[in-house]
Amino acid sequence: MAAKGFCDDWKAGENAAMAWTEKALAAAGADTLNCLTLVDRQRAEAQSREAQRRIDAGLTGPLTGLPYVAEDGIMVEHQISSGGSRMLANFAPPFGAEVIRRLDEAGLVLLGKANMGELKMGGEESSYFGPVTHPLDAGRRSGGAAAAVAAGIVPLALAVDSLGEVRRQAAQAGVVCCKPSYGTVSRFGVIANVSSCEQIAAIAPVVAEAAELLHLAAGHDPKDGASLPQEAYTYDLSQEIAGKKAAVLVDYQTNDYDRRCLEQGVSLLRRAGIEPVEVKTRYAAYAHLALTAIAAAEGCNNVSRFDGVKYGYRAPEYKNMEELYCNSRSQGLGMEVKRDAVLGVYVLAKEQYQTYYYKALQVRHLLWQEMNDLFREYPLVLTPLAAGPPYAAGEDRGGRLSFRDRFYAAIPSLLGLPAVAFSVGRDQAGLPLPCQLFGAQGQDGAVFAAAAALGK
Amino acid sequence: MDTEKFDVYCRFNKFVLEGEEKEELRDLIRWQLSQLAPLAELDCGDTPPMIYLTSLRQVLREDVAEQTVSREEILACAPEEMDGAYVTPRVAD
Repeated sequence: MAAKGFCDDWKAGENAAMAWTEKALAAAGADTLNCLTLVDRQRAEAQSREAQRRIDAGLTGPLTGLPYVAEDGIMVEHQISSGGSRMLANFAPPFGAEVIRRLDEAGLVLLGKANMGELKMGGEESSYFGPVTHPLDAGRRSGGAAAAVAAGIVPLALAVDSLGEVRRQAAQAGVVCCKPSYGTVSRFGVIANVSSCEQIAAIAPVVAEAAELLHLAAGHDPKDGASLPQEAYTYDLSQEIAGKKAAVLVDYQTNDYDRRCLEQGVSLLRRAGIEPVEVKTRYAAYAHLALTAIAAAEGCNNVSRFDGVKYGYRAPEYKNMEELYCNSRSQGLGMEVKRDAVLGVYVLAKEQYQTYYYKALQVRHLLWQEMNDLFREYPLVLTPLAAGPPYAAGEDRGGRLSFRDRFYAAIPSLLGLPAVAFSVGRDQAGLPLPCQLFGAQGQDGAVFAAAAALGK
Repeated sequence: MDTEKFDVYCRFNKFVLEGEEKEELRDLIRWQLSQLAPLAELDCGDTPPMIYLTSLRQVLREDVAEQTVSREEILACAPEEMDGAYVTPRVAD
């Protein structure tokens, strides 16, 4: 049985979209987590008035009038869209993302932008606007979109899932993140990083609302070259789950923390009538390595457009064109972006191409075959999402811990699979233990329904 | 990655780094490559590479240029603009 709709709680006691927006604006104003990079009061109030007009006219959907935030890598027309980078800290794009247009049309209220790791290349310490404080532990870190929902500032958020970090952050903040299959939600207007993997995901307190948000956001968009042809998507959360089998990947039992996550996840599966079966794979342990090489290769190309000429940051001092490029890029991009850019050029260079980039694409193929074989018997796969609790302040500088935990999150990113991240219990400090369920490409509804059946 | 290569790849990326920052980046790259060693050592035989993700029918749009944003809107984002054009340092005498 699906968890009770949180958005109903959000609306409880109120009777107007304007009041919901005011509530969110007040919460955003009192934000001490640094989870938002921008709050657009004027836009939010105008949208809430329009939403109220729809509500009064009876033209409503379940999310009409509800406020949400979009991660800062999702562009909004004429609104600063920085991607967490100094390079774009003054960038107000002349067009917005398709997904924002769709949610505008559906009557949702965009409150503002959520903080994020720099250009999705950096970890929890990399945002130009400073790190996000974990909503349940002030000494730890989180992601902006996950923290904004977990802290109750907004009931919904959109974030770009490229390397799996938003899934981990959401589950470790005690909320859910639904990542749909690659190609189902338009990436038009998303600041590109790992183009062959990234997909907009929905964050909410429960699966039902995240799935509803994706229902509004998903569908073919000719402006996105990788968009699948299906015009619209609905996710049937009431489909029968009991009796299905889930593969529990023992490849991810490396320490007490991830074992505990898996144990708790397995007991939730059993309670929902899903049969957990331990499975060992051949290539899962290589997924995060392949993803890292592909991300660097694609990322270095995507950040090459930042040159200090066309838009974004331009260094104040330069004597010639070469210095303009070098100074702007050296000052405008952070350490972890530089790391991926240099690594990307390295893995693509003639001498190393076969050893890293080509090999990564081969691993993707092998893993694709292995997972599709697995899905024939097990429509669901359970894994933990972290090797330890949310990072302590400063601990992820350089992105070493983000890389460590990419190990757990990588398969759905690398293969474009639908996944749901959620907490399966609490650790001794009371912090959520993170797990994910994923399934075959195109089986989004079955995966979301299974997570909902776990009470998420 | 040796120092010479590291410098080449930094230059290729138009990064000018000095002192501690340069050392920190070099350490990070060294560490990252050490983490990627199992990938480099894996024998994948003649498995073909998988570049595109989806086995479902993917629709690629026509490769046709369209005017979607006006010149004025584009130039409004420019760090420096004059007479309807980007301002850059002189590139030729």
